[in-house]
Amino acid sequence: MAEKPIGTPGSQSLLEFQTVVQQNEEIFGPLKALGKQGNNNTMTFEIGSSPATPAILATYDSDPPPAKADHSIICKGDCLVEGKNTKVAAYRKIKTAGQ
Amino acid sequence: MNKLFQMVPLLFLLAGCASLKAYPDVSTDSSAELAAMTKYLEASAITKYDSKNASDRDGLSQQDWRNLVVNARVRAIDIHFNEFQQQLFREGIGFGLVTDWVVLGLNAAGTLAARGTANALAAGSAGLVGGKAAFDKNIFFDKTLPTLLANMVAKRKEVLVTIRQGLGTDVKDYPLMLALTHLDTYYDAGTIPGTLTAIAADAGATAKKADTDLKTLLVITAAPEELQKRRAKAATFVKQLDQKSLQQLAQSLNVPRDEDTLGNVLAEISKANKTESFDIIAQKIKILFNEEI
Repeated sequence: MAEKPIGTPGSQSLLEFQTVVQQNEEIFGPLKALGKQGNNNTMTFEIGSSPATPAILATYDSDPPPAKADHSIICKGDCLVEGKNTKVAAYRKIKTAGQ
Repeated sequence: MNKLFQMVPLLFLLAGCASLKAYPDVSTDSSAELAAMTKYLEASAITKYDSKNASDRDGLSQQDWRNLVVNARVRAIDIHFNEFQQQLFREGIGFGLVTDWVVLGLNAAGTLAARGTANALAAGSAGLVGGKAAFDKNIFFDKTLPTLLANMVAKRKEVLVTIRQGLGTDVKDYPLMLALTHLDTYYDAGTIPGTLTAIAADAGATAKKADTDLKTLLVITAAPEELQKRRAKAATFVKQLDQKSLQQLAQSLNVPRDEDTLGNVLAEISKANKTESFDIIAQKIKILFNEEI
């Protein structure tokens, strides 16, 4: 599967960053990796069908990122949130039967 | 356990002996060897190579003569490099390397020994490190030169491969003059300034690549909600296009058509986070495929 790295300004809030991730999952496909390059955050998407549930971003203090009920961890990375070095994890809600 | 104790004096002996024989005695006389190769090392070897008369080259063809000259000069450079390497070792790095190995040996022995013995060994190790510190006048020699030396050896091998490959070909493809240029590179690779230049060039190339990566990274921000619906619809439509249609769209959008054409077109959609810029893409899709986005 082909992957596409995209950047987004590291000056954004976590919510803005998450919106960019979610919008681009609808364009490229599922998020695969997060990171930073210079003043920007990097997001790598796998080109394919958009995921059924969007990625949710959360900051955390130290590895490993905490588990989140009914969610799986997609990836984690050292990113920038409002210009500050921040550990960010991406989660996705696990679809259960009937959902 | 007795064997462990027997090792300790040996380790200290090794550490204490700054002139430890890291290099065994050579069984050949390098000066005599160089003297024997004089005719291939002299400038006249080049004149002989160019001569139309094979008798000037001891009856050898140009190719055979070239190979003899080049091999002799490689050997001469190697002799001098080996001497240089040993001299560096004598001037300081050797002691650093040997001490490090002895410390490792003592620590390993300490791990294996019982507590009391381990303390004694650990104390020995500490003493040795302390002793070494007293001699550590020059961090450059201790830490930097072994790395430089490793780089030199690696780079020399790299150049030698080029030379050896050249010697397997005809003189038209690999004339002596070209081989001599490679020999200069081979010599340079074994020098401190040469290896520093190579390291600096590698670092520069890495920095340049990082810079290029940074410049080529497409940086985007979010689009308004209504526009995002249209962008998602366009992306879904593009993903189901066959290769020919995808190439057509890529061409009309003026995006690179390569092994990642789909990714490039999707990136164009992702980049269009204003209605005006997205309308251009929607318009092209309408014209080419009569699809309303």
